[in-house]
Amino acid sequence: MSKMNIDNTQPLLQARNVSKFYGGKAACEQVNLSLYPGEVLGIVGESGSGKSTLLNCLAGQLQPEQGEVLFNTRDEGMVELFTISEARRRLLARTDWGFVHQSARDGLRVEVSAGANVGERLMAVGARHYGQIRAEAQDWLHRVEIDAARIDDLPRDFSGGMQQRLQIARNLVTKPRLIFMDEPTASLDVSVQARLLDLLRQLVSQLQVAAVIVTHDLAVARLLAHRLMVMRQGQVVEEGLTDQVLDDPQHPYTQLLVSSVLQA
Amino acid sequence: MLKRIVVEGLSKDFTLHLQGGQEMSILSKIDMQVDAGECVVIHAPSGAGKSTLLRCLYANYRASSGSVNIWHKGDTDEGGWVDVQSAPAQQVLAVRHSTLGFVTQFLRVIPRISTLDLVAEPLLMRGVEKQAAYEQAEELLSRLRIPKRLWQIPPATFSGGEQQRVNIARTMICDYPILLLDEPTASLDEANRATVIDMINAARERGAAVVGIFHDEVVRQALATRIFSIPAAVSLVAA
Repeated sequence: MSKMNIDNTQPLLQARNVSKFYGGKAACEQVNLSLYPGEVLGIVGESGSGKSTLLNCLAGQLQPEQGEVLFNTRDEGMVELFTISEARRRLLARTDWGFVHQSARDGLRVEVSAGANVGERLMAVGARHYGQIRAEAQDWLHRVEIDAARIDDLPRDFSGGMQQRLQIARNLVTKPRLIFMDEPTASLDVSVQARLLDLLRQLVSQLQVAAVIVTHDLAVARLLAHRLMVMRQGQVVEEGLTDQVLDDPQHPYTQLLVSSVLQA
Repeated sequence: MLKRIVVEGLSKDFTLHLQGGQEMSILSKIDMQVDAGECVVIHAPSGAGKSTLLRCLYANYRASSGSVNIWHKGDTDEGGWVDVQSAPAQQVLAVRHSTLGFVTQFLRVIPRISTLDLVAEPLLMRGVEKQAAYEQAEELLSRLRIPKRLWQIPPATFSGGEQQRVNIARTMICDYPILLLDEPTASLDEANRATVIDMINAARERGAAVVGIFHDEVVRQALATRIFSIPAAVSLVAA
């Protein structure tokens, strides 16, 4: 876990009483949270606990039935994500935050080259100089430990770990202030996971980017998150500093979760 | 004297939901003060809550009631008291970052990070220049007799004693105003134990407030300026 930049007292992202229902059943209910610049928040819980639904609401991809999601924009301060225009929301999603999907294929364009996957994001925020875009893409491939010689290859020919690293490069190239991650390591082999985790840990700390990470893996949460929220059946049952929640779990469900982990 | 830690009415109960809601009261209304330049050794029988108390001081465990006030001076402020048991998460992290050093018995290994990187990391996070940070890390690892050939290897495969020394180096590399030590010498040989004792005494002499648990009588004798006893108040009440 890296040091958090704490001189910012205004939250970057806030959720107020966010609820989302599917067929009358709450996928997430009355969730409140504040995320500060540079802070990494982990959301843990089993499958179906509503953590991915919440993540999608926070990222402006899924409109909650109730509640507000506020984002602190660079130019106008706090805006509510679902009352601004869709065009503006999309612009924010391109410039101010990134979204790393569990499956790299959902976050990449597999029919264009690795370099284009990264460069495309730069062009979307106004970069036009081909040489510079390519140089920056190359630099990012290097930072996520992908051989520069693969810049013109298609991501579908990459291994799962490489695809995931490429997805991260694509998301970080525009220097977002916030990155959402949905089970970023779940589909990877353990050895590949370690490499990705180390990389994420370094990037998040170097770039001082805030992050919301959904994971069912408590070890991943321990390594990356400053703070944890535990979700069960759509409700936040416990929250606190990561080590508090994992070492001194208070809610019955958190105690069950922590005691169920196999010790390697 | 300059007060560094003021604990008031600290209680810690555990509710074991997986054991049918069994309640354990481990700490009951503890008051404690620690000044700069003191080494307070927590002394009590096994199971009386020594580690629990130390973890409450670090806010790793959340108290059931009471406060743990830590004198904390950030990079830009003039210093003040923070109750780490009730302060917001961001503030607790800031207190840990610059004020509280905590050596546990076990090293938490990070995949792929070399021993040298692991030890230098706390200094780098404080903004110390890279070369200076690595020089200090090397010096500490040498002092603690970790062979140079191991420095580039992640400590996952090290022996218990080696891991413990890496853990000590990682904390002692920063001049924390407060040191919390949970059996830092438990699995060390005599020479390394003496080195760690010297380090802790040096920290105390520069003004650190030290609170520790040491089972070894020799270590206690060498370090303690005061003994703090926990009243044996363990009660097991089935819910």
